[in-house]
Amino acid sequence: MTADTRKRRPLLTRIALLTGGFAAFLAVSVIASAYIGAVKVPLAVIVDAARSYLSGQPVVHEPHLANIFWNVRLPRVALGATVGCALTVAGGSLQGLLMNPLADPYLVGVSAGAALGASAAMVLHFGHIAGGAGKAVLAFGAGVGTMLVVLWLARSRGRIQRDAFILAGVVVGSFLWALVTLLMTVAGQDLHTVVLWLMGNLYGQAEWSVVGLAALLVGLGSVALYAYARDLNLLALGEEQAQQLGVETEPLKMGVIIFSALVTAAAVSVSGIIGFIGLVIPHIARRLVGPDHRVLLPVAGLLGGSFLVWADALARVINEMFPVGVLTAVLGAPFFFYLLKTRPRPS
Amino acid sequence: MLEAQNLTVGYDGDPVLTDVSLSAARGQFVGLVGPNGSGKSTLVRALSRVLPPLSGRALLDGADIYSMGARELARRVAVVSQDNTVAFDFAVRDVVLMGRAPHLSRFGIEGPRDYEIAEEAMMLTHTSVFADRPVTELSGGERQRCMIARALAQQPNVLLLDEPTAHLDVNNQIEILDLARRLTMERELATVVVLHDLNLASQYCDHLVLISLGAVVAEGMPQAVVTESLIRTAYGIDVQVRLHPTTGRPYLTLISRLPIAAPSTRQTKIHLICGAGTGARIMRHLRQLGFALSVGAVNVADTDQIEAETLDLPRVEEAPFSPISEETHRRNSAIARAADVVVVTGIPIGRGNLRNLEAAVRARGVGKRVVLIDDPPIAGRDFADGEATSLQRQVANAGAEVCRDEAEALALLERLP
Repeated sequence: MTADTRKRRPLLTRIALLTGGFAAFLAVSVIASAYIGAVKVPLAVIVDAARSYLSGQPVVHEPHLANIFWNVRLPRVALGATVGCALTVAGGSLQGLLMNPLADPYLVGVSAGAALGASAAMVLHFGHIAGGAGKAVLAFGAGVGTMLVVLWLARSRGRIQRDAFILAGVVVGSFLWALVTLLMTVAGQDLHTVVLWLMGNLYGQAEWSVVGLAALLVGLGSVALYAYARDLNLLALGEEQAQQLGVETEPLKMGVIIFSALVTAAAVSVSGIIGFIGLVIPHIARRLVGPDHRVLLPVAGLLGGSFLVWADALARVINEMFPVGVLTAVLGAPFFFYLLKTRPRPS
Repeated sequence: MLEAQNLTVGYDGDPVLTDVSLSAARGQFVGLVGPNGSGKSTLVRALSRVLPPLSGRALLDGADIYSMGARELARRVAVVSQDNTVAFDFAVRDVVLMGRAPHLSRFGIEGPRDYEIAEEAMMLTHTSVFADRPVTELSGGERQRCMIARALAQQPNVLLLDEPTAHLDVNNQIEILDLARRLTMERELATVVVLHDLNLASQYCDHLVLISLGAVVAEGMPQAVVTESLIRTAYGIDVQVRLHPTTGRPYLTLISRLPIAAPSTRQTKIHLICGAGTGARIMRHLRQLGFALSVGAVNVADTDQIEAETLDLPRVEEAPFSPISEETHRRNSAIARAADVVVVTGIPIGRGNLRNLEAAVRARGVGKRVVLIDDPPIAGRDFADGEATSLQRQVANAGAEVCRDEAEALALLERLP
């Protein structure tokens, strides 16, 4: 689709129609993919369970199967939607901010920080603190902390230098990955869990409380990022030009970096490092609906959520414990090659 | 009205511009000129609230622009910069609509009025035809016009243009500057434009500010700024400045330190007798053909004299509007005799320059080949009571070749070694 056919309706209508459409697709994806898994849960059981849950009665038929659906499958799917949405919104925002098509949420070094936090929790057995959520809390904290260090490195004379930011993110990331590797050498029998976590996995993370907290953080962060959508459009003209069009660019850069890091840290701390979504899905969305961030960010987020939901369903078909991060990379990389080769015209 | 008051601007505390003052009133088209690195773009940054000055003030209608918000300023000052690349493939219309951003609230969305303003801006800049095309696919000139449309959509009082014609072909340069000039008048904008082409600047601007080494060297009307001595001061080169025949604005011709014309590749030496602009064209032709060429006798400030001077040809000159003196005639005859061929153009002949024909007669007298270009025919340009006609007949009878026009003469001369 090219820009020629893109401009038809007023912006507000486009946002409403596209967001509504993709939201409906995500909702259908969540419900439909919840059927998929090692254990078959008949529709009757689900409907029955829903009816008794709403009326406050105990579940009549197959309470075990109903429990699998409601308290194992559905939270896992909801977490997939949340994480996919988070990574894509953060990736799309950072691509817009850094005007770099290779930017992704992990560029900021958040993933490396979170990985170090989570690995430390697993190797040093901190998992039990904070009511069993020690790993997630440590991952989140270390991720956000890393972002602050990168931000500090990239700032000089009151300005965030975008090139310096990318470099600082990459270098700090490499440093922290080295520490993760070091931890793995002393991990002993915990090595397996560390590796599984690093590959990105939605298995065994999903309790409704965890999903709810992650969704809350991702939701708030995404709304905050959306507030910068038009400023990100103006930034496409160049930083100085955006300033001359009324954008206060320093608060913009600071805000987008902080909120994408928060959203990313929230996702990573409950799922590990799930790659390629934050890089590829924004590109696909841009191909579909154009570069206007006011349309792009919500559509990309919903598309990213749907994508991860289906990728995780496929992972479950392979094995309940199969790391979905492997699948997203295996599916995502070739798709990225395809996008590169079918680029409309170089700009 | 935009004003710079004793601005000192720089990066990391090192001043690039020192103590610069200028102002642009509404309806005024002010040009900033000066060599590369002199600080023109830095001044535009300082005037657009992007680079806070080290000292001095930048004022918009009397208020310091650095005490305003970015949005407030963007509603009144629009900037078109040198770099007009766009990172994503926004449609042209969307880019123009970005000019409405300073008028919208954070979550505000462009309404029908904003679309009207954008459409109008596209009409004025002739960008409507490609409104739906991705901006990344436009040519340089088209993208520049799109950026000007975006600036107009801001509905500013002040327009800052930083090298709007850089990297553009002549036709696009003229189109962009015509547009900017027209809008300045129609919308009563105060426009400041950075130009590196002094001829364009002189042609278009009401007021020029010449900057060199971070300071204002001169400012005023183009006639006062584009002068040989000021250009030498600012750029360190020698140029010729003349007044444009139709606009009266100064224009400059560059003088290269290397020979302008190709070196003489033929052995034949030609002496061209001309004047009143009749020889300017054939002079260039003969030079391009590689002949060694001399010119005479021409009055100083005559078009042919200027052309000969530009081409750096040996020439015999007479004072402006003066008859050819005995001394000049002697030198002209001498240089004609030293040549292999003497060419006489269709000069209007009066008493003052009758001696030019006499020089041709003398050259023929010593056996030189003489070519007369009888265009227009001598009867129509004889203002010496028939004496010119009789001199021409005399030299023709002595064996000079008479050509009907320049082309015939060139065809003849081309065959010479």
